[in-house]
Amino acid sequence: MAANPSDIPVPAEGIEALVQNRKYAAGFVTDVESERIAPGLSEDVVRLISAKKQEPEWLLEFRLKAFRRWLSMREPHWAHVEHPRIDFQAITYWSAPKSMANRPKSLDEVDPKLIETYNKLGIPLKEQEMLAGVQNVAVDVVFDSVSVATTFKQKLADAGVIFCPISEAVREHPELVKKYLGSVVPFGDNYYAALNSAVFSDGSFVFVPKGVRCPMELSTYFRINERNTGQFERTLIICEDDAQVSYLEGCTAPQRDENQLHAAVVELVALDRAEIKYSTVQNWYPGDENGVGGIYNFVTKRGDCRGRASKISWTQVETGSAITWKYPSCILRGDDSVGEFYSVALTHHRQQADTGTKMIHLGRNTKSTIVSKGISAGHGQQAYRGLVRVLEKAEGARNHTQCDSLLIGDQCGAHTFPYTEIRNPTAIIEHEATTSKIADDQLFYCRARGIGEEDAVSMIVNGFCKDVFKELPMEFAVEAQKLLQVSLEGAVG
Amino acid sequence: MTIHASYGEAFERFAAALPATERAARAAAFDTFAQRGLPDDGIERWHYTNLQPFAAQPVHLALATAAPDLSAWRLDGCDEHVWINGRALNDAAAPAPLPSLDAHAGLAGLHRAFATPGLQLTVPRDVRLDRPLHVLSVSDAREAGEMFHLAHRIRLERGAQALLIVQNIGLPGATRFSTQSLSIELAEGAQLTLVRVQDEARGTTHWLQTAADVGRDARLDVVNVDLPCETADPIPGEAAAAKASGTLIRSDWRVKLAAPGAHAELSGLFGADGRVHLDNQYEIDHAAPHGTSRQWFRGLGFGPSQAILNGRVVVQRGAQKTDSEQRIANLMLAKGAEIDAKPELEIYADDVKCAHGASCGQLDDAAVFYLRARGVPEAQARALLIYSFINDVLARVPHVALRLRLARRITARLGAGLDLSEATLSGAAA
Amino acid sequence: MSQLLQIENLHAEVAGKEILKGLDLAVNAGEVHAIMGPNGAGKSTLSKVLAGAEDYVVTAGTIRYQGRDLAALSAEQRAAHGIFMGFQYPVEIPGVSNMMFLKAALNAQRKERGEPELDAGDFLAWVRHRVKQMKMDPAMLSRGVNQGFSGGEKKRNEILQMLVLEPRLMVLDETDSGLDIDALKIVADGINAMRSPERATILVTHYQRLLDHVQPDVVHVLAAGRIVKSGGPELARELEEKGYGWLQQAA
Repeated sequence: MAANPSDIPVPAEGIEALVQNRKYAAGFVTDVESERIAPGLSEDVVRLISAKKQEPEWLLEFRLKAFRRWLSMREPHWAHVEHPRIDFQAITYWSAPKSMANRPKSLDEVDPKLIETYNKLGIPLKEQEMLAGVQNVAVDVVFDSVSVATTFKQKLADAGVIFCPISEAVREHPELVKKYLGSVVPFGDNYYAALNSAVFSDGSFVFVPKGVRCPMELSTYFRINERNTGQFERTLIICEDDAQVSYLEGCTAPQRDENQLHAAVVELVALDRAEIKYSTVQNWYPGDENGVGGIYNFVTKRGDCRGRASKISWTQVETGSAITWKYPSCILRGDDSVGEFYSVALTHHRQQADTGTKMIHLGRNTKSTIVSKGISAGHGQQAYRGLVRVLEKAEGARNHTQCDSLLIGDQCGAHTFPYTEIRNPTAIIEHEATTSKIADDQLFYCRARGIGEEDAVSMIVNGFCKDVFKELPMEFAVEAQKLLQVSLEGAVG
Repeated sequence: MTIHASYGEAFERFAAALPATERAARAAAFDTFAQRGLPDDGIERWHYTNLQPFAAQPVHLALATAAPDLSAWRLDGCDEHVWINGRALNDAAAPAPLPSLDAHAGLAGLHRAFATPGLQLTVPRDVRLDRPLHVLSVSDAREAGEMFHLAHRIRLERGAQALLIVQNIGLPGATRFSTQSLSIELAEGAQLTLVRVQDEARGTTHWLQTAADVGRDARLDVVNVDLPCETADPIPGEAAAAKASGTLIRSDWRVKLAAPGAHAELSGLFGADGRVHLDNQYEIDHAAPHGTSRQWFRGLGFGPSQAILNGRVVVQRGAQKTDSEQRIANLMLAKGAEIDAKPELEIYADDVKCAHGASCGQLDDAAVFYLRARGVPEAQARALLIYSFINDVLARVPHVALRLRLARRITARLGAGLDLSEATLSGAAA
Repeated sequence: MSQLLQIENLHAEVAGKEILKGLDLAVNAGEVHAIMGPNGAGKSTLSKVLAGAEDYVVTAGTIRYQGRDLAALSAEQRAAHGIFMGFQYPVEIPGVSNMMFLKAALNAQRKERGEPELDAGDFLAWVRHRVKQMKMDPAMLSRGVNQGFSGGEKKRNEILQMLVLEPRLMVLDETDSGLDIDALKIVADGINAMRSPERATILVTHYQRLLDHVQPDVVHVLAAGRIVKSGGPELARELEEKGYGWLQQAA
């Protein structure tokens, strides 16, 4: 039932843009000379990475402890995903564009090829370009293992906000990094977090001091370019008392036939009354329609509402990756703290996702909200896995979870595994889940009104995801809608 | 994997009394147990329950005891079948095939190695049993570590109907370990209502597996009433070790809707207190199109205890037009109680209607006040509301006398007198 | 005529906010009082305070009922002593049948008063008769309390409960809202049936329309937490025509 192209209403940016968007647009490879080490993982590799980054002794110790712990751990198998064994010795743990050997002092010194790469991806690195547009976003871009540029650093510094690559933070603000690194996700937390702690390359560091509202959105853009290279970024965001920040994360990778590993760790710390909003649009290469290639996205993201009345909000739109294994979580430690998780995850073709969240209620009157929207098409397998745990002392804890699945086609799967563990008699917990499909009569109704089938699907899907999209910053919401449309191409008919 | 030597000794004694033809299969089952041991909480399906420690404790075959006075449990108008410590009191000891279980291999092996035949029932085509069957499995452990394993088999032929009440009764005494299996097969259009009442004694470790195959347009109704040992006080005749060791009851319910139009309705009432660990695992497997399933569960956290409810619905590829709904509601009544609920969906077909909900909370203050404003004292108001909370499940017990007995027991536990006369309960609308 | 209820200088707050600010009201046995007033004036607060809802805190003043201080009585004791509040939003209690609910309430009240409890048979007759009076389907007795009832059915059920429990002082909070004309008449008939020299009724209402069917002896206007004007039935009609604005200015 292919829709007649002339039936499709022409979007504002023109039919050409629509057609161009029909493939994984981020799938190109940038031809830059890279410095990379040989594949394989050993204590020597860990030392080498640390040496390349000229790290202090305490950080090397952190890495080595993590590495030793990792060696003693077993790969987790409880997730509802299947993949061949990962050969951790076949992966390259360090790769950087040669031009980064001496990190450019300013944006003007960045390799034009890299600038062009990001322009192609729609991420302008020139501050004036950004100013010309309406965007007001500071960007840190991470290319394979290193951060290549951070924009608007001065403007942020004026406000007292530190936004820089984490490797730079290790040099410039060691006391902060030392205090907070590993304090939310300990080095031995889980298999992939331990691996990350041993070999993490770069990532972003954000510190918003007491009472400061970050004057602009912060954004990091991750790109894996090199073949057989893993990306192990590490992000650390700290908001002191009464501080606020909104942080966006985007990711893409070239189209390659082999699977690549991405094992990131993100740690958020919110002190008294602080608010952190963390949004992700994850568009790693998903593999082709037969399941060849694609990123294994095994990520540990966790926020610690350490202070009273603090708030951490996760919003994610997961359209990419061959396999996603990801549970952005909140530890609601401070009394009256609030945790939120809004998620849209889409699996098409042979993609698999096992994603959800953990809300750990420790403090009194803590509240959490979970809204998860899973879309499965083709042979995609999608699982929501969520934990709501209310501990003995969490008087008055509240949670509401809404967990909906949309199925497109009869070969896909949608699964829901919610764990609720309640140990305080004053808790009020509600979990609701539904499953629906795009009904033939809905599609017919749209078509009878002149809307092409794919647009109808996209319309219905966007309606399904509305509760999550409204949590995203404007630019990301638009990007997310487009991504869904592209990702669902060919799902119906 | 440590398995206490007494298991092997018990098996040798048990096998010696078996007909030679059975020994090989039993020995193979025991070997599986010996190799695999008992499940631990590292296995996802045993996430909240660890049986492994029990494999390391001494056991011995439960002794034969005289028939106890069962009048407190007797139900009028039922055909009664009694087993005491796994031995039939009034059923002919007919040889029965070994149960095949889809469960943890080691645990299944243990059950198969030692299983003695329980109810062996076949209801012929288009026959409707006039009287309910009341199966009583009594455990009467005089010495620590007594164990027995009982296997029931029920088959309803095409269009047959029956009501089966399975009650596990533990007489106060020593610590004990028992397993029980119920293999159920419902042919086309057959209808079975199964009520299970769990009344095990303190100090019991018990595993139940019910596996049902529901045929075309057949229907299975299950009401599982899983209530706590009701007192923190010592019970006459109870060993101190039994009181100290707590109680662990794990029940697996596996219902397969094997042919089009099959229907299953599972409901459960569970409440825990006094170091009771209750783990109920329900699974409905929609393996054919047009199957419908409903699940209603109510849990009460009375006191220091852990109750787990895992309700899983699987919709297989091709099981289109499946319609499934599951509701879990839990009421936390005291500190120290933990309730873990996990309603799971695993769906591989798109034209399905599946919904589930789980909630955990307290009594509604507005409702308590409304009752008080009508003159009902607070304690009684709370009891009434708790009663109404569980009544959704209780009302599904088709045997009126049993339903009343269960209701009275719960309200007695709540400590406030409620009028539970039949007239009030039924609303006397007619 | 004996005084049934006497409220003096009543101050009450909810969630720390003062709603009633020095309210005075006296109701004699045999009388029907209507309390009218704009939204937010404190009408529902007064009903809740009389019924004994704990989240409504009396900060000053006294309420005497049958000569005794009401503050000492819990909500259920007040009910047993004959105070009945008709809820503006009757609560749904799924699973508790109306029958069970009524019996629990009636017998608890009788017990508190030292009267023998009714047995099932007598009780059934008692209730059935009143169900008929309210033109309700007897099948509702086996349904959950207010469960799945329409707004009008819920209000009718409040009056049924009132007939069954035979209170002394009836405080009916917006009982007329959500009723169609026929239902309004049935409800009014129920209220009128309860009129007697030893009982009194307080009708809390926003509109005059219920008062066409239940003739009040006294009409009060409640505004900003106090009774600002009292009069005969004609006051209700005046309010209907002019609204409340002129009174609020006067207050």
